[in-house]
Amino acid sequence: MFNEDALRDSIRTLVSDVIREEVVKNGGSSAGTAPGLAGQAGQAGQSPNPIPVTAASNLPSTETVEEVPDATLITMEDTFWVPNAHDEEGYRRMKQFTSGRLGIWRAGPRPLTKAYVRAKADHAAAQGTVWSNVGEQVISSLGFIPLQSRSADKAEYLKKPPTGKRLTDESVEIVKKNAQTGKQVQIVFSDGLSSKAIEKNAKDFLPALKQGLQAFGISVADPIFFVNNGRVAVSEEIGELTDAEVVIMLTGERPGLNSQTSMGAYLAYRPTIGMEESRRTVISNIHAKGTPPVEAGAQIAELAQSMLQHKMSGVDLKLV
Amino acid sequence: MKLKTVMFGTTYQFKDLNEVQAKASEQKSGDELAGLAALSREERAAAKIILSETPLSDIRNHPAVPYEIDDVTRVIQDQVNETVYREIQNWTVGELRNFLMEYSSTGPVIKRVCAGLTSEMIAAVTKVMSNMDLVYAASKLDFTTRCVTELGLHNVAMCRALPNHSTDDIDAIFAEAYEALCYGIGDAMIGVNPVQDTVESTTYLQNKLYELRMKWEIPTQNCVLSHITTQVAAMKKGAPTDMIFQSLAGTQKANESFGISIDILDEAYALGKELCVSGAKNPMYFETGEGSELSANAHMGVDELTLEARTYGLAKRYDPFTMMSVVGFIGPEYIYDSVQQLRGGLEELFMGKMHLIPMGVDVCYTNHMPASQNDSETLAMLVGLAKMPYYVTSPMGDDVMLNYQLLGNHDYQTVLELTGLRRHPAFEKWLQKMEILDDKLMPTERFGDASIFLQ
Repeated sequence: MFNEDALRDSIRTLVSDVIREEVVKNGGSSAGTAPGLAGQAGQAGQSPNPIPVTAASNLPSTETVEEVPDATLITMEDTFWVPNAHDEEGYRRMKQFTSGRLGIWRAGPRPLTKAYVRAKADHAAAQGTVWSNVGEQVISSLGFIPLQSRSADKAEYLKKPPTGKRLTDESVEIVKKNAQTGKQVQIVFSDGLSSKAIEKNAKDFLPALKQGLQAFGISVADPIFFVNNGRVAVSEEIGELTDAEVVIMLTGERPGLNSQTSMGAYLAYRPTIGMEESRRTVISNIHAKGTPPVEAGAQIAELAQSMLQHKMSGVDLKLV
Repeated sequence: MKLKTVMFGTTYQFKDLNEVQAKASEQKSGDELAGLAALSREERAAAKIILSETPLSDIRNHPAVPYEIDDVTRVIQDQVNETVYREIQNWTVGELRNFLMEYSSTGPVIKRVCAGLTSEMIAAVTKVMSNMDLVYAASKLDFTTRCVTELGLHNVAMCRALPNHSTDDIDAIFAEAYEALCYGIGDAMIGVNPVQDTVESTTYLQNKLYELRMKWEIPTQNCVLSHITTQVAAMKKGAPTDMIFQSLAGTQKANESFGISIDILDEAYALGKELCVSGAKNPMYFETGEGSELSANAHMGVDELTLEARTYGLAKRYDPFTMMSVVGFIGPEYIYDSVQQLRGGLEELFMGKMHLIPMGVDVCYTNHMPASQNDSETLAMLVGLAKMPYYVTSPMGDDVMLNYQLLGNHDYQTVLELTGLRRHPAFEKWLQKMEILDDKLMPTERFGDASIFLQ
C-alpha cells in the first residue's frame, strides 16, 4: 500500500503547509483551520493526529497583511499574456472560441509563473473536489438521507468501481425503513467524482426538478437519498428497494481544469441491479457555464414524463 | 513448465504461465481489480524469479489466449520469423534481458532478434526489467516509417498537435492548431479527436485540415480520429486522408467491442495504401491503453501488461506510421497513481519499440488519479532519454474536450533542449521560414504568438 502512504504523506504535508501559511497570515495568533483539506486527509484514511504548530512567525508586528488579488476570477478565454503580439486584437478574438490555455506566453521555453500557479490552482481544485465529501450540513439542509456505498474510502472507490455500485447492508436497511415505496419517481444524489458539483448545483436544481415533475402530475418519493462514494449504478439497487418507476440519479462528473463542478443526471425506467448501460439516459454538463441547473431541472422532468409514458429509457427511448 | 520455487523457506506455486505472468507484473490497479495481481511483494518476486528462468519456447507454445479461439493470438504467432525464433528458442527470459543490456547488442542486432519474438515474450522480459533497464534498451531502438513525412528518424522526436474541441467547432480547432504550430508543434501530425463520429463531419474536418496543411505548406500529416469504418467511408468518398486511425486492444473479444476485426483492419490497410492522399508507405495509426480489455470485460484472465503487448503484436501486422499508448487516460481503476503511470509509460515505450514500431506515449493522467503535472514532467524527461520518437501536447497540458491532463506545449520544447533531440528536419526548416525558430534553431519572439497565422 505504498502508494496510499505516499498520497497520505503528500496530503499531510499540504495540510501542514496550509496551516503554517494561515499562521503566518494571522501573525501567529491562531492555528487556523483548513476544513476542506482536513476533510481530504480524513478521506484518505489518515488518523486525525493534531499537527503541532510550533513555527515562529517572521512577520514583525508593525507590518500589515496585504492581500494578493484572486488569480482565479479571470476565465481562460480572457487570459492573455503575449507581449507585442503580431495581431493582439485578432488573438484575443480567437481565444473566445476555446477555453484552452492559449496566448499564455513563456519564460525561455517554460510557462510564465502566473500561468504555472494558475494551473496549480485549477488542478488543486479539480483534485480537491474528487478527494472530498459533500458537507454534512449540505446533506441535512437539503433533507437528504445519507447512505454509504461498499467503498471503504475514496481510494477504494476509485480503484474498485464495483464497490461503489452497491450499498452497505446498513444502508439497505436505512432505505427499507425510510423509503416511500411505489411512487413514480425516486431521486438519488451521490458525490461521484465531484463533491463540489453537488454542493454548487443541488440547491438550485432540486426545486426546478420538483416543480417540473409536479407540473406533469408525477408523484415523487420523499425522502431523497444521498450515497457517499456512490457510482451511478448504485441507483439500480435503490430503484429495486423503492419500487419507483423512474430513478433520477444526480452525480458529480469527472472534473476538468476549467469545470470542477459539473453534475450529471442518469435516468432509468425500472432499473435493475447489473442492467446494461444502454438502458440509461444521460444529461451531462449541468453547471453554471454548461446547462444551468434550473434549466436542467425542467429538462429532466420532461424526460421523466416521457419515460413514464413510454415505459422505457436509454437507447430504446431514443428510438421511439 | 516452470511453475514453482522456494524463497526464504516459503514455497510459491502457480497454476499456469498466465498466473506467473500476471503475478510477475509490477503493481497495477487493473490487475488487482481483475483479481490477477500478486498478493504480496514476496509472491511478486517469486513469480519474477520463475519467469526469468522460463525458456522462450514455453512462452511460444503457451500463448496467453489459445490460438484456436483468438485472432490476435493467430496474428502474433503467424508473424514470427521462424529462423530467428529457432536460434533463440532455448534462451530464458532472463537471458533475453541480459542480451538486451549487452554492449554488443546494438540496435540492428536487437531488431533482428525481435523478429523471432512473440508479444508474450516481450511482456515477460519487461517484467524482469527495472525502469532504467527499460529506458536503456528502448534508447537503442529506432525505426523510420513514412506518411507525408518520415517518423522515427535517428535522434528525432516529433510531436502531435491535438486541436480538440467539445463541439468540433472549426474556429476553435484552428485556434488550437495555430497555438501548437507557433510552439513548433505538429510535425508528427495534426490530429483531431472529433466528438461527432459521422462520415460528413469526418469529411469536413479532413478537408479543413488539408486546406490548413496546403495553405501554410506545413511538412506534416493530418488525422481525424473517428472510427475506422467512418474514416474509410469518408476516404472512399474522396475525403483527403493522410492516414487511418483506430484504437486497438489485445484480445479478439475486446476488439469486437470496439467494432473492429482483422478483416476490417486488413481492408483499411489495403485501401489506405491505395487511396491516402499522403501517398503513405505506412498509412495506419493506432492508439492503445492498458485496461481497455478489462473495461470491455474481455481480458480472458490475462494481466494488462501482457494484453498491451499483444495489442502491439496486432498493430505490427500493419506496420503503422506510429502508435501511441495513453498511459493514464483509461482511469485509476487500471493505472492508479503516478508510480503506476511512470512504470506503465516506460514499459509501453519499450514494448512498442520491441515490436519494431516507432512508439509514442501520451504522458497523461485524469484528475481523479493521484498524479500531477510534476509526475508527467518526470516521465517526459525519462522517455526523452529513451529516445521516444513521438509526443503529444496541448496548451498547459489541458485537453478541454477529452478532459484529461497531458504534457504542455512548453514541455516539448524543453525536452528537446534537455535531450538534444531534434524536430523533423523539414519541419525545422518550415519553422525557420515562418521565423518561429532562428537560424540556430532557437525560439524567436514569434515562438508562442499564434496570431502570426491570422491573415
